[in-house]
Amino acid sequence: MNLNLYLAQVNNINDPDKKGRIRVKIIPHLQEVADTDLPWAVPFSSSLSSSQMENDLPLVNTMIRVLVDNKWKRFYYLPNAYFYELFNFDNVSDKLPNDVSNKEYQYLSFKLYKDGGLEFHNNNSGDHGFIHKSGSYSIFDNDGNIKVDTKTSDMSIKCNGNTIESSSTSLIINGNLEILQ
Amino acid sequence: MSTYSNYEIAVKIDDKALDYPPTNYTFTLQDSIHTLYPTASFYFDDVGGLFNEFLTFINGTKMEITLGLPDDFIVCPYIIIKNSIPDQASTNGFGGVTNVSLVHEYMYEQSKKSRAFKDEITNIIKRIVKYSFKKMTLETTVNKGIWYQPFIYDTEFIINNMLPFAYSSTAKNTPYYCFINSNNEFNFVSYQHMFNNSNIMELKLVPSAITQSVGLDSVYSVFPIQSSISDIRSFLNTTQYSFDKNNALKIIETEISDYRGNNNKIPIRADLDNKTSINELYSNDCNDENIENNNKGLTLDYMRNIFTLDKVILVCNLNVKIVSGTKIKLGVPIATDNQKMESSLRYSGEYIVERSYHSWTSFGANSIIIASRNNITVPSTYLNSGVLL
Repeated sequence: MNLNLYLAQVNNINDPDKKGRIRVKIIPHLQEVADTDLPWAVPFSSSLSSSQMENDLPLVNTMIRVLVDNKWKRFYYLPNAYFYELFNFDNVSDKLPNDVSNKEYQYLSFKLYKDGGLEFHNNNSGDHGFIHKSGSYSIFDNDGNIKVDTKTSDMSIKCNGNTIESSSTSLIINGNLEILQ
Repeated sequence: MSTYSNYEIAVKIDDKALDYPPTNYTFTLQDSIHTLYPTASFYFDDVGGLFNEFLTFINGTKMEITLGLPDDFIVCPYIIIKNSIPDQASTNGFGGVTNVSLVHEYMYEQSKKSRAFKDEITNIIKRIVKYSFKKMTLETTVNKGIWYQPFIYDTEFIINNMLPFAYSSTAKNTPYYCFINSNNEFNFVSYQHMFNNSNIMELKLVPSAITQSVGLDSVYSVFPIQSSISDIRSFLNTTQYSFDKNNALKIIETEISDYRGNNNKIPIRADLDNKTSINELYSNDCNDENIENNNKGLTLDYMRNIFTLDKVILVCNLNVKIVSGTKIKLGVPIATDNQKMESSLRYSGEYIVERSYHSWTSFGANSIIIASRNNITVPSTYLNSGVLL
């Protein structure tokens, strides 16, 4: 099967079969086709097996690359298309807290979500974490230390029915408190 | 229209009759079951160069050609796609024989479209083909589902995106062909449909020296020709594969002998234990009946060339009843051991016209026909008959 590469706009990600498909408008080839008649494209690659699957859908209206067979019967989608001006590393580095060492571009694998959340892994220092849009974050450092900073007033940690809760004015421990010297 | 030397010949340019004696031009009308559009070559003796001076043959000009006998002729509309005057014949200035290449008018009556259809193939063809053909023959398929026309011409959509999938049980394991013949008739039919035609044109080889050779059913010469074994090798023993909904490999194995008719023999010898090709079909991971039917059509599409592997080229009197897709019954006499003339069992029989060439020159008109089939009946006593496929 010969596949050809095209540019497409994501039209719909709500697959009625819940099978990871997305509806694509291939531009300009299917420009005039009604939205309800557009083809459903399946991921070109995935980690799918009998015990493993993932779902990482692109956003509606974003531009992606699709592969189409030469008879226009099979449609596969690739990750979002690359546009030079849209790739702005400053949007990522500005969000990283001081707790993260070696923030240079070449060390960082990251995913910046639409709502501002940032997931990252530092391939040099080993730091790995998630920074919430509010600025709160939790980071595992290279030695396995956990750094948590919440910029909002509340935090709750639960463990085997015991909880530690904090608010802006208090720290509540629900369970036995044991202080060891 | 004009009758000239017992032939009906007329040429119209932009709907106006070409007022020039047919002795000043020659042409050949060509069609084929393998190509959608019929074509024509037109040679016009424009010695003084005036026809070209007045832009008669510029590209895009409509040209209608009529050829046949007074009570039986074909008419086909063309568009000039190329013209040239390769040799200057005039001694006083510009001029010579103009060579004009023509293709059926429908080719230039379309625009590229972006659209989708959810229907059966022949229903879609009925909807999109707006051109007024003399006749349209469409054989229904079982192929339904969604079809995309991605900013391409209607005919590209038919030929590239739908024809390869065409399948129906009535086609008896034969592929579909889509073509317009030199009589301006549109066809979307299976090979079986063409062979089922009860309107058979009977032709017989007659030595040109005897008087019967003037008949419409006379053939002057027969030139048998087989497709090269290297061209058909990949169709001998094929494997098609796809994956089903459980991600399991599904194999379809077919041999060339699965496609012969009436238990006849295919006139080649080959070792069918040797695999000769492997083709991918569409994976039916969602258990869709439409994909299953499309794969049946694709399997036949891969095999389409084997249906025309045993060919004869026939030279005969002008007979415009014979165009591509016509079924003929050919009689070829052969001298036997006892000096009697009998019918050749090897070459006599039924064929489908694969290509036709109808020509007019100032010396007269004739037809050259390429007819083909893929199986024959021969006695077991014939050399090699026991090892035919």
